[in-house]
Amino acid sequence: MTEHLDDNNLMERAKSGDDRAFQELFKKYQHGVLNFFHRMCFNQTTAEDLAQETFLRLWRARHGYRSEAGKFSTYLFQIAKNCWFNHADKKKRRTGLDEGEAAEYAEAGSRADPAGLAESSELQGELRDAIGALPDDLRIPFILSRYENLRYEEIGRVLSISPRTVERRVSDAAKLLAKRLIGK
Amino acid sequence: MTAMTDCPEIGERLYSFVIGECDLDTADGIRAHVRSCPDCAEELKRMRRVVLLTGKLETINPSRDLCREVVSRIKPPLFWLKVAGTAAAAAVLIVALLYAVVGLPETALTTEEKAAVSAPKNEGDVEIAGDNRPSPGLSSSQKEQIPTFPDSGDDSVAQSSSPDGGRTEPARDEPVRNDAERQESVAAAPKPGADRTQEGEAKESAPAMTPEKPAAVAKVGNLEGEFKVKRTGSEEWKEGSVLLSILPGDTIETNPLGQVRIDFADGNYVYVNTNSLVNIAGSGEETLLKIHKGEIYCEKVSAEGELAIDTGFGEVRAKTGSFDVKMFGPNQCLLHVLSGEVKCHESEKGNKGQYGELTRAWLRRGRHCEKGTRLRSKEDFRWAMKLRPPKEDEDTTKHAGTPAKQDQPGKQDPGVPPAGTLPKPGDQQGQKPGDGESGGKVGPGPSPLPPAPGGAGPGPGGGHQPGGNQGGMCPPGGKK
Repeated sequence: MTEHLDDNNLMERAKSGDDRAFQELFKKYQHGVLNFFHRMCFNQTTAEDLAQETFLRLWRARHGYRSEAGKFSTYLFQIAKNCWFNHADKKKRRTGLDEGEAAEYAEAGSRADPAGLAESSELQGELRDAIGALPDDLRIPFILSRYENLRYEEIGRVLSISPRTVERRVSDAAKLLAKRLIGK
Repeated sequence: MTAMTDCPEIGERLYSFVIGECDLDTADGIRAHVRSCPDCAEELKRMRRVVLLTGKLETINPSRDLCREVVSRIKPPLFWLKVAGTAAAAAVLIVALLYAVVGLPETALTTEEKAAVSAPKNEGDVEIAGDNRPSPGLSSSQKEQIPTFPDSGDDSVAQSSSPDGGRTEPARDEPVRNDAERQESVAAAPKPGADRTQEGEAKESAPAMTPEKPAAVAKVGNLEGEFKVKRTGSEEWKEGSVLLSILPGDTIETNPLGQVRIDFADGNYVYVNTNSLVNIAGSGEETLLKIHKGEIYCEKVSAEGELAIDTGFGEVRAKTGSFDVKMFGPNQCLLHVLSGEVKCHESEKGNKGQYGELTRAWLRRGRHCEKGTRLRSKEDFRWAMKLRPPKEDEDTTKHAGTPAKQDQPGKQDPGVPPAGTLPKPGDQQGQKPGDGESGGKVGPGPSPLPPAPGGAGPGPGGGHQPGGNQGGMCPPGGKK
């Protein structure tokens, strides 16, 4: 039964074209990946699209996966990170929004998660604002650490930086969040 | 124990200490330090609070069945390879059988065909029917004896309930099997020039050679749920089925649960998603579909020609790769390119696109933007458009057998809900009918539209009604 196989075994099976094994991995990690993206952009639709893209890339890149190279989750979040950077790169090019477009973009974000918006408390709004205000290089390690429970070493592999750098960035992110959420 | 007295260093590690990422020595050092340093003790409290607060951030669940969507995208190629292999093997076998068993009695037919074919030239298109692509060993007359897709408009095409889409049956088997059926259907509903493989009836009907029925260009390769098809020149909608032959000009409509895969002869295939309305405008050197509502996912497999989706206000074209076009009303769609490259024409403005690196964009009548954001210049975005001579624009409308006058996208019922938001299985949210028509008040997500933050602004696309933007696309440097 695939449930009892670890990620590496599932991935090995996926490499040989077993889409059921791939589905197992999908089910296991989709929530984490989806929420990773959601915390990066707070837009459910974008998060879902990016999560989907991540798994599609994983499928396409499955033959390049080497189980001895590290944990599967590290590999997956490397792909997720790349998806995010691709997404962010495009956003960077869009700096000149006119008013209507900016409103549209913002509206798309809120529209995508109307239920969440309606139910969100003030705290949720503050958290979104605070996390959303972090620069990517701080936000990604912070989210991977805080929410995906990746160790600094793993995050370092995901981001190709040293664990010490990860620690600094996570710490900087936490300080910025403290400043914003708690105040001086 | 490490003596940590440096506040900045301690401060840098407090968060790690709180979440348990410090080694034991460091943790002991921090504990010792904060006992004697009120500032760091205070900072430690703040870090604990940050951990506490950030832990309250909501999590989300997928609003749609992402797994199903992903798997549906990863499966087709595998499936197609399997089917293509099976079909090819079966085709070879059947041709061999024709040689060996039947002894090619169609010799006489060939001369009739030659006579018949010599009159109208547009009959042909035999080669474009992929599954029925003639084997190299066949003569040209033999090619014509083995019709491509058998029936021209006969909805009673054999069905298959095989779970993998019914393509396990060799395609070339169908013409043989359907000859008898065809005779009946031709007799019952005379369709001039319908079938030149039948000796008796064909002799009588062929000479008249009134408008010939075009050859089938595709088949329904897989079906979930239900769909309807409307044949060219007919106003009647009929229920579709797996293996149904698709003719140029046919219109397909899926219901809220219907999803259809259309396999084109050259190997390209498209998925028509739920609640979609699509017209098969042509196939041959290029495959052209017109989407009026809903969503099409396209896989351009063949390296030859182009696969084009006409949105009514523009075209998306690909030479290879996969892309998805989702309509949000008659004036807007979302394009998502998963692989390969696409180019776009804006048909009304006569602009011509170049192949580029776009992966996702909003396409609108009169302008193009990406995720609600203006594309600014050709430098920013290599997908930029170029003007082309107006007469070239006409090409986009002369694809074989495109009727579609009655299906002008611009005339879409304004009450039709934008399709991409239709209730796919697993969808939790629905979009109000007409949301997509409200001058651009659409978005990738379903749903009620709260007022745009900031309130001002015309709202998405509010100022961009059809024709609202003269230049179309992205004026160089414009709208910065």
